[in-house]
Amino acid sequence: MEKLYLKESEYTPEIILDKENNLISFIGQSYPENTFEFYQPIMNWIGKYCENIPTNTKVILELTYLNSSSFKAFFDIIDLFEGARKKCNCSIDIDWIYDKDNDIALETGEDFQDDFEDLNIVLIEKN
Amino acid sequence: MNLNQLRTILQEEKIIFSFSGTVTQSLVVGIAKSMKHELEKRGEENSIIDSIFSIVVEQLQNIMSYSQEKESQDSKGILLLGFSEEKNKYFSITSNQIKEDDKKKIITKIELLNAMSAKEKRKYLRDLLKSGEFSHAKGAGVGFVEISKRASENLLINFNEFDNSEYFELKVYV
Repeated sequence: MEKLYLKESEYTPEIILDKENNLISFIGQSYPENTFEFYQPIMNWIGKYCENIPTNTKVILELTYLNSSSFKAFFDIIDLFEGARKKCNCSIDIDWIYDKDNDIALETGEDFQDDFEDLNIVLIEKN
Repeated sequence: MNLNQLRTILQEEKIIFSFSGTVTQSLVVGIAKSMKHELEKRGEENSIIDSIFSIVVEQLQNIMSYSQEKESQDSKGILLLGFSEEKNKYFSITSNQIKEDDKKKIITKIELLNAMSAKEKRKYLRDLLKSGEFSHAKGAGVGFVEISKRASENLLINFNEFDNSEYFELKVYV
């Protein structure tokens, strides 16, 4: 699979989808105008990746701000991982990285933890 | 036209920031960022700044997506950010044109949210996301929930007529 890299913009995060290193990473804030159109190709890539998922996958989510439709998009992305996890004998480690004084980001990470119990979502505080 | 009239109103109402015009994505980014900067300069706490940022983005994007959905509506809106000395709280007000038919839907939604506790709102939002009901909708459904999660009081809504059109006003205390 081709590596997909998107540079961070003013309202979308840096995105790395790298099959070779089994690394998927989103860093930055997300509040695009047409969230679903923006994330559709990302969802397609991850969907394909999950069809043939390797033994270990590392997912880094360092999202400082998500608008409501981006929250929905990430909910769907994590849901893809959970679907894959249920069917495979593999580990998917998700690091949810948040700033010490960003209560909203912490709360969002906790929501994801609660909703996806089959995944190993670790909340990591950044100073 | 004397702009001092407008200036007087803004001063009396303790408005820190005001915008009136067509809402676009680049304006949403610019407004949200400059508000953040302004509040940082005022020495506000991060949690307050983040909540205001989130509320303002949702309010403006609601106006934008509402007008896209209902093609006949324009995406002109008004946004005011102010500080209430009486309550010692910031507030954000937006106003935009809506369709008469949507009035009821909005009222039902806001009343539902206003009756919920913080915990219930968190759960309600996640249930909405899980149900897939909003999967491709741009609608204000999820936006209102997010705004209400960040607000420190019940959301205040108002409908009024102007130039034979229906206008929706949303006031949020942070």
